Amino acid sequence: MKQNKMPFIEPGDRTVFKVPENYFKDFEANLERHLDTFEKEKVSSNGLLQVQTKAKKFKFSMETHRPILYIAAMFIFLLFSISLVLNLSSDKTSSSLRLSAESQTTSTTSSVPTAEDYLINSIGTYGITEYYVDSEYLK
Amino acid sequence: MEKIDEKELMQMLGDENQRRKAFDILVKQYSESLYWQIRKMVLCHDDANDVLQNTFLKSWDNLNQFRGESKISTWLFRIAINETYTFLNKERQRNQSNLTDMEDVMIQNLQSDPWFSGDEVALKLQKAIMTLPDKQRLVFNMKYYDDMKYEDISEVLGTSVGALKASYHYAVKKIEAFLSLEL
Repeated sequence: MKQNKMPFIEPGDRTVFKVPENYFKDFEANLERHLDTFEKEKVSSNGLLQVQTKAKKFKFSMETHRPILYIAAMFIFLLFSISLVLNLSSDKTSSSLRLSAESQTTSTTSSVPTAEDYLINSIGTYGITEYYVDSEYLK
Repeated sequence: MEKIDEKELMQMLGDENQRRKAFDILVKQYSESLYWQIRKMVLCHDDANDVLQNTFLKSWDNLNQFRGESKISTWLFRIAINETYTFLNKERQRNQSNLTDMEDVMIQNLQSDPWFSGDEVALKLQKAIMTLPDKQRLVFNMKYYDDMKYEDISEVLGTSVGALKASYHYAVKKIEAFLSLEL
């Protein structure tokens, strides 16, 4: 037979390969430990996955709501600029009001007759000049 | 150990409360046969141990995806084969970057493996088997070492009986040619 030419071990014979004593029993025990660790890791990774999925969902919602966010941002900017413009114009008005008030004050103050005014009015410009000139000549 | 038939095991696996217990039975029932299939492909005991462990972890993780269309033993066997291929491909890539031949490295590892008791002739046979492509090696191992029926191999590998017969025939020819040069 052809097969006899080869130094074949009889089919089914595995004697060249050996395993440590009680290997299969120990393997079962080891595998149980590994399965426990594997399950724990799976649970923790599932938790992490859930957190990641939530984050992803949040990111996704950010993406879908981006136009709305842009519009909101623009609206806020518009409000801000309007309020700024209004503030400036109100400032201008108030300052002009303040100026007019100041001018009014000055005008009121100028309209109130002082003692000096009274004297000038009663004596007259000419009289005063005459007074000064005369007093010069008197010296 | 009490042997539970596939149907009963399937029912237990379907029940959340009994799933873990059923899986333990599954491990007890199939770890040995799966180990030997993996061992003959990866040769070293430590590597076979790692691949077997990954096989069961993966099957536990994907238990929900098992629809019961095939036997649970076939499903486990397929996972074991995929895990073995993944391991071999990783080894191949690792050795490619080191400019070494994966097959030579594996034979060297086998020589230093305390759980290999073969003599020089047995080592040469392993060298000869290592020259075969992965799938052909798998077919050869199943037929030669385990004396599996072609029909059963066909169910596991999803290859026609004819193709398997041809594959085994060519594998034997290649091994004979290798050994005639070596011995």
